[in-house]
Amino acid sequence: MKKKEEEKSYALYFFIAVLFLIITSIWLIWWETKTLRPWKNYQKKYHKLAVVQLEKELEQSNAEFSSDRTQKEYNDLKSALAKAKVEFESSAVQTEYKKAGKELGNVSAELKTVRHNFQKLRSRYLKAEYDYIKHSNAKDKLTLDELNKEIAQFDKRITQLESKKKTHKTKLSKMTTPVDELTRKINGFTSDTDNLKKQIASFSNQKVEIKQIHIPDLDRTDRCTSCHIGIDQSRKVSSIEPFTTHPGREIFLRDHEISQFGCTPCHRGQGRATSSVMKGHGDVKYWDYPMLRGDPVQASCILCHEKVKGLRGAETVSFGIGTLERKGCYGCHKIAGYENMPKIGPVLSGIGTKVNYTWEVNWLKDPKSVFPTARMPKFGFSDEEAKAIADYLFKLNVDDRVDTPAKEPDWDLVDKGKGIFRQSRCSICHPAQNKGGAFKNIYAPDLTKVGSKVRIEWLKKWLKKPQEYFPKTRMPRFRFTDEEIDALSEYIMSEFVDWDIEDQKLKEKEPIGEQHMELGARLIEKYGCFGCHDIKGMEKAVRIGPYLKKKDVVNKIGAEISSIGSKPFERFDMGKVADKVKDRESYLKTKLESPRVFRDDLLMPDFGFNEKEIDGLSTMLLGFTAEEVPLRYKVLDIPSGYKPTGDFAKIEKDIKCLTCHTINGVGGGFAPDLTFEGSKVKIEWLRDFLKNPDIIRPMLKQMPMFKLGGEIGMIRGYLSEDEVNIIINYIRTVLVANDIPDDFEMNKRLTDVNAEEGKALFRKKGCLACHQIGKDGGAVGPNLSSVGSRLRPGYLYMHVKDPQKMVPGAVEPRYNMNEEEVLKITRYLVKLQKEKS
Amino acid sequence: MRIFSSRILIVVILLVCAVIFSGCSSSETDELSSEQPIHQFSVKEGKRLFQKLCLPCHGESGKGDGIYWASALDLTPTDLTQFTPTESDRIFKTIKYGSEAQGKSNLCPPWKNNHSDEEIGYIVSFVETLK
Repeated sequence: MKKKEEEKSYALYFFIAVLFLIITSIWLIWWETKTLRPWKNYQKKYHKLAVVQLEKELEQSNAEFSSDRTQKEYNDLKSALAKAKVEFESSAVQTEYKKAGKELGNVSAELKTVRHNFQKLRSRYLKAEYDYIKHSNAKDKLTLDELNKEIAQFDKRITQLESKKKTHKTKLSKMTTPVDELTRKINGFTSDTDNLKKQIASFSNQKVEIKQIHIPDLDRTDRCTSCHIGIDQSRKVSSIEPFTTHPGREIFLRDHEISQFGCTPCHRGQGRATSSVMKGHGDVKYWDYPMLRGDPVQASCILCHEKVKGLRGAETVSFGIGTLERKGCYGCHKIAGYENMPKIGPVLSGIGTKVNYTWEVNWLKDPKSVFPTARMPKFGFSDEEAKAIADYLFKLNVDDRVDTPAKEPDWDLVDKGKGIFRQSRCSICHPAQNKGGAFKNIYAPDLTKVGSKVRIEWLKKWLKKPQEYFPKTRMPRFRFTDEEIDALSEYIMSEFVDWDIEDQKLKEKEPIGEQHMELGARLIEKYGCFGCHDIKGMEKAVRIGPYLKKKDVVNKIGAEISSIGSKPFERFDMGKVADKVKDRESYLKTKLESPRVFRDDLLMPDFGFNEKEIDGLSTMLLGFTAEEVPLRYKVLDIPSGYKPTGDFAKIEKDIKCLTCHTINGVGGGFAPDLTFEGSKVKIEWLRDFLKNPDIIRPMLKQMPMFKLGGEIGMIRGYLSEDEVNIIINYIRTVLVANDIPDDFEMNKRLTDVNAEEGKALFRKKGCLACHQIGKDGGAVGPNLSSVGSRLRPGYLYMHVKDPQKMVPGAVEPRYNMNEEEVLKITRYLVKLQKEKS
Repeated sequence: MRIFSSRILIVVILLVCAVIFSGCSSSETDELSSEQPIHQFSVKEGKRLFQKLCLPCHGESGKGDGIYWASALDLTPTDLTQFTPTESDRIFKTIKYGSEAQGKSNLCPPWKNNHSDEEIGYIVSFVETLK
């Protein structure tokens, strides 16, 4: 039978509904307080770990304290303290102590009154002085004199009182010293333990709360330390994230205190998010700055540091910037800061007279197949396209496709040329046949196939005056004679021949028709060859690549963000590999590795970057953001603006000292820094060295022979005696350091120093492991056999004292020797003179 | 009958809650232990320092086959690949105070004034990886 409506019971439904409500409420509270606050657990766990770690340390320190020896010492001190206390509290001492205390009080009170009166007197004096200056009255003068006398009296009184106060004080402290001293010592035994106990107690009832770093200047609010709670602590309680400490604390955190810099300015991520690990790290869709980990964090260095070269911890990004400069990315791309850089490639306007046609075609097709260190990227031209471009370029000065085949050389000349090639140390910069090229910072073409590349007439002209063909070249003019040039070019043309290219060479001239001109011009324009090369008729053409970094972008209203490091990931054109590329970093890496993988019609050529270069460049590009930081965070790079002056400048322009050497931060950084050369070396040695550079550095780092000085005068182009004098004079007057003691000063200090003791000390310190003297010793540092003839005593002294002071990167241990030891070793080194032959 | 079923319901609901709650807490502990320690930085920085300071004598691979050591002296550089992790403390002290302080020759210099303990620690972490 059916029940009436009012008789039905809904209790069960209500009960279920109520239960549901209760459960949902409990779940909500749980979700709100636990699930959305994962940092709570992390903090609790950290506190536990910290307590465990501290307890371990406490146990250790307790064990140390309870060891027999410590206990004996401790008890001895305790009994001594008790004795001292008894002595101090004896009635005789106490009366004296109280008496001295009372006297001290009296003296102090008197001193206070006297000082107060002295202040008043001073005011009167100032008034009198003012009157006298204003009116020049004899009466005022009299008052002044009187006041002066009075001041002298006061002075005397104050000194008297002060000395009295001092005696009383010493007397008092003498009585209390033994007790104080012993108490301090005893506390020293337990202070560690007490400290640890205090810390344990504080960790045990530490509050669990959100930690936040707010930096208004950078518009950042970072709550990262809510989970990474021990990140800036020196005590490591665990090596597991998020409890561990920051790796490389000394490098990264010393100058970037977390309270001043926060976390996200360097690491990016979503600093405000606290509800999950993923959100906090910014690994969520549409968050433009996902967290950077490991090396890519260095992208953020360039936000503030204008110069990262040599900056510790920024090696990857610094290598990236070096790669950018070496490969000349700014030829095609606009990059803030690189707008006015000179074009990186050679001038192409005279190419028809410089190289062989077949070589040029091969080169255009794939430069790296000609030599692996080629700087020019591979554009992937077809045979036809390469020929069209070569035709266009040749047509600028010649009418025919020309090749000059290798011919039987004059072997006598070749022999002579080989000697000159070695003497001139060409292989320091130019690699050839897998040897040489030690100077990595500058690009010098590989010479392995150069005999099949260039024409001998051009080579001769080049060797004679490199700047005439390419004014911005960094190659020095070696001042060869015509005969030497003949020999050298004969050697180069015969030694460095590639027979594969020789086989392909044209047998005879082929006239260049008009049919290729249009295609050639179109290709050059399309691929923007003029970005790196000067080409006649295309001087005004603009860069073809997109912006990589735009500086004033934030000031423009509604400006597109065209700095690549802050370009939203959604706006990258992923094309064919959309399913493989998942974030900005992997996009950049893919682009650098194979630039045209995204679409077929892309223009960027293949540079063949290696892994290290890709890492460096992608890190750098991540750092090219539109973000601006306040000036006070910036570390500006103010160049020294050094330029050689006077007659020396003319010589430098010709032989290019600064291609290898550095002066005041300007130059190649390959050969020794010459900034303080004048205070460093002796003139006689310098003169000999310029004439005939001998070995101080290991092979392949030696200085080329420039044929300076010598028997021949200016007419043949060699440096005259005068020019050597100009160089020496410049070095001696301009390139000096004032803090290096001069010869006179050093001779005075060294007169009574025993060189034999210095020798013994030199051997004792193990210097021979790296430096060679005579037949003994290693080859890490310079050979010191005749260092006394080379270096000034003042420089030697400074160097022994602190090797990194003059040469900051010197790989030499600093021994922190005392003055006497430094002088002894200096004396020994000064005595190491070159034997007169 | 009604009372009985609601009792069952309460029990069931409590059980469900217990399962959910215990699931939450266990998943969190899993998350904690699954995160890996970071050694990368110290080894990399150590390698950089090693190449600057140690490579001339001990060689790229640490086998004691560097080319710049004093060949005229009788002693050869130590083969660093022979060290076991238990000797880390000794390597640390050798780098810091020099080999002489370890009762050996004076040819491996002390770096304590040039480099901090932290930096020497990096070198040790790198040497530990040599094999």
